[in-house]
Amino acid sequence: MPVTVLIVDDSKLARIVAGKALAELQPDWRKLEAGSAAHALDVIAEQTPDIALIDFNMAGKDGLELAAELRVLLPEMPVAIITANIQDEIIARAREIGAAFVAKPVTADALEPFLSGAALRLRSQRA
Amino acid sequence: MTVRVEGRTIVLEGRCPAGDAEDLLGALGDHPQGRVDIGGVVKLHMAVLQVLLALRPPVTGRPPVGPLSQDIFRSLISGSDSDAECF
Amino acid sequence: MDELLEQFLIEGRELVAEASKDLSALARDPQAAEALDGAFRAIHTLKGSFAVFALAPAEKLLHAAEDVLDRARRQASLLDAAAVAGLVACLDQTDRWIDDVERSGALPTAAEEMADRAIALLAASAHAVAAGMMTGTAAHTDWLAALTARETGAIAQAAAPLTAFRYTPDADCFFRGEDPLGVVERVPALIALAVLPTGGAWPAIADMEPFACFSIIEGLSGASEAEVRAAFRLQPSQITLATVEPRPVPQDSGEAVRDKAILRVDAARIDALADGLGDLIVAINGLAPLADEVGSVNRALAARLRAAQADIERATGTLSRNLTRVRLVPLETTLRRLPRVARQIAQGLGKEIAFTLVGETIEVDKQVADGLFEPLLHIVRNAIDHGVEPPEVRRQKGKDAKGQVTLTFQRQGDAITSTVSDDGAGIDPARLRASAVERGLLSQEGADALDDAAALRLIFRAGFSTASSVTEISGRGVGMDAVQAAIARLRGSVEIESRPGAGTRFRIRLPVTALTTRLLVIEVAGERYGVSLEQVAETVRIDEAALMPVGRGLACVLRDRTIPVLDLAVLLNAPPARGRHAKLVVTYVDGNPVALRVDGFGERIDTVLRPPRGILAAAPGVIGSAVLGDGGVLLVLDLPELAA
Repeated sequence: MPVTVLIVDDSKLARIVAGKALAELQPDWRKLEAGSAAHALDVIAEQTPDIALIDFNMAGKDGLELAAELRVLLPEMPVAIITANIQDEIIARAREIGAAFVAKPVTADALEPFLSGAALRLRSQRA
Repeated sequence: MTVRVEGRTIVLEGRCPAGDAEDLLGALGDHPQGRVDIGGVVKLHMAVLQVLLALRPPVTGRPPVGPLSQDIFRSLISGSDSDAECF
Repeated sequence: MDELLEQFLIEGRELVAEASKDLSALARDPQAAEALDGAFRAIHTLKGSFAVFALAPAEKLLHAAEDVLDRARRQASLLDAAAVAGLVACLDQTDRWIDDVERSGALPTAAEEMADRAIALLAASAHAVAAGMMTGTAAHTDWLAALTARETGAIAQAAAPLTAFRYTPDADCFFRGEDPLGVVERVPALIALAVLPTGGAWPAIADMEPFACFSIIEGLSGASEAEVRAAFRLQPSQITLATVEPRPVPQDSGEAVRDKAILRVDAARIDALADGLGDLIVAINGLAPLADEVGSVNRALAARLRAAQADIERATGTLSRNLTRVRLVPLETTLRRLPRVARQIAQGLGKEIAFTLVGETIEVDKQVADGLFEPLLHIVRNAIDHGVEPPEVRRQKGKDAKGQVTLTFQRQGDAITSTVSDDGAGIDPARLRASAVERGLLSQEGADALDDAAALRLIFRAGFSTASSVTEISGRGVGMDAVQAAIARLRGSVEIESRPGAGTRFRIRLPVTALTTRLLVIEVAGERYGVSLEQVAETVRIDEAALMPVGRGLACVLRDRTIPVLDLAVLLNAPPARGRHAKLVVTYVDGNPVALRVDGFGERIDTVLRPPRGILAAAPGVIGSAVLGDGGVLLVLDLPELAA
């Protein structure tokens, strides 16, 4: 069964960059895109992603608020926050909801640890 | 594949990611008398290391050159016999 | 004896025992107020007793100890493990002084300095109490105390304060893609690292969740607290930090440092435990044949039995390692006199040396440490006496007037390698050959047949000495043969390399521990024997056709080297081995490889080697026996002796 990854970022360019890094590591995985937190929630109503990559800095609801809501809707889903500068306050909030960090701009190297951890979780859930 | 079984030896090779922990655990379960050869390891994930530390199989091979290898592998190797390299 | 003195000795020792008992109670339960009062009273009285004899350094030391206890009493603050260890060290020093007073009626001349050092140690640990209180909880100081005890060596060597860290990754961290080892890799100036189980014990194979992190990583770094904290930036709630002040190891009371482990146990009790463990290992060895037997009836049941056996073996292995560790002492304790003695020897001979000691913090079994001092001293003495040239000769040769004598220790698995090297005159093999002929130890042909390496080993022969003058220091050639015998008693081996004009190097290899021996079972003429794996360089299987007749014997080529092949059966007075494939066990005799042909190789077992008794004691080539799991007895052969 292919894995579906939800990429949430209000910049289309950033979504393309993240999508490329993802394709480099896991060419078979499917991706869903959303340009805002609200859009992401709409997407989830239709399809259930296995993994979410969420930009922190978005207009409207920020990435961590969205991640917290996703944590309620899909408690087992691995979530990573994409951000260029990590402040201590963000670290603490991300820890609370069990989200990982991926450095921005998203490269294959930056994404690899999170994806392999997520693959591990999916593997142990499906086992 | 970074975990292989050759006879009674379980060979770890290359960069061993977290996923290898499950394979190693399985291999040690199948071969309780098996020894683990780490000679080809480039990097070991914590998940793999803690299986070795918990189950303490005899470990052979020269540890990789790396920032932590001295500290990490010393305890593993010193718990095992150094096999044929006795003189 | 003076009645007063007699009473002092009796009462003093009682008070030391009382205070020790109270301190160990405090170590177990820091809140034991009665024990705190008891220790204070005993030490206070002890101080008064020493005052009767005007033994000022002891008074001063006990006063400092009393102060620490009194402060803890009045402020109702808790003494941590380090502080208690400091007090125990003071008490030990006092105990040794009571022995000194009994022997000589006085304290040793260096007592004043000893007292100052013990007081400094006490002050350092009191400081740790203060630091612990600043940063937090009792649990915090617990790990810190354990870490400080574990890394004594690294802490002693540090020139500046260190940062200790304890990193407890959450169980789910692997799923977020975190690798705690990768995180720790980023800690700057890492000095020591330990991976510990979260629950205090590693899980058994059946309970193990491969993707849950059940490890804690602790370590020491030379970087500042802020720098170390930065490495754990993404794990702020999982990290605990503390500053550790460097603590110099007192030169003359190394025992005080070792006594950080508060419990002091009679060595005989540890030996009794080791014996019990030996019996346990023998009993466990009985499970494998049982599983084989079960296997012929029910394979599944046999597999479960083997799995259970593996679990028991692992648990026993851990027990054995822990017991072994109890017996480990740092080499420096026994070797601390060596640099001073070496300088004295050099002075007496009018030579100048720079003596370097490397790796002396390595820990070895107490028996090994104790047995090593004499042979090492002898080799060092020889290096200074025969190796290092007088300063004027060295200058003529263009060398530094000061000779370098270096003693190193290195741990390799279960063995330690020690080298003693000098940059002196070296040993001339030609001179050794000539000397051996002169002394009638060898015929001219025999001497000529020796290659240089074999000629060098002549110095290990009894009664061999080539020094042009018999000196006061090195005596009359009583020496290298005794050195070799002492090392053999520790189940070690010694090798020698020398380059005339450039220097000599001795390499000694010893097992770190002495409790269990790993044996290889071999079959010879229908019988099973054991051989110590430490004597086995390798086992090989070659085509019989590859055995070449050389002279009256056989030889084979291994890795481009021709080595003699002896039939072990013949050496044991049994019919020789036959078969298309020759199975060989390679051992070293006087530094040269020799292959011994056997009928077959069996399993490897860990067992307790019992020294030969009765008739066996007289049998040549037997180093002991081992009881097998089925109750049978395995004779353990001494390969080098048989092959010699």
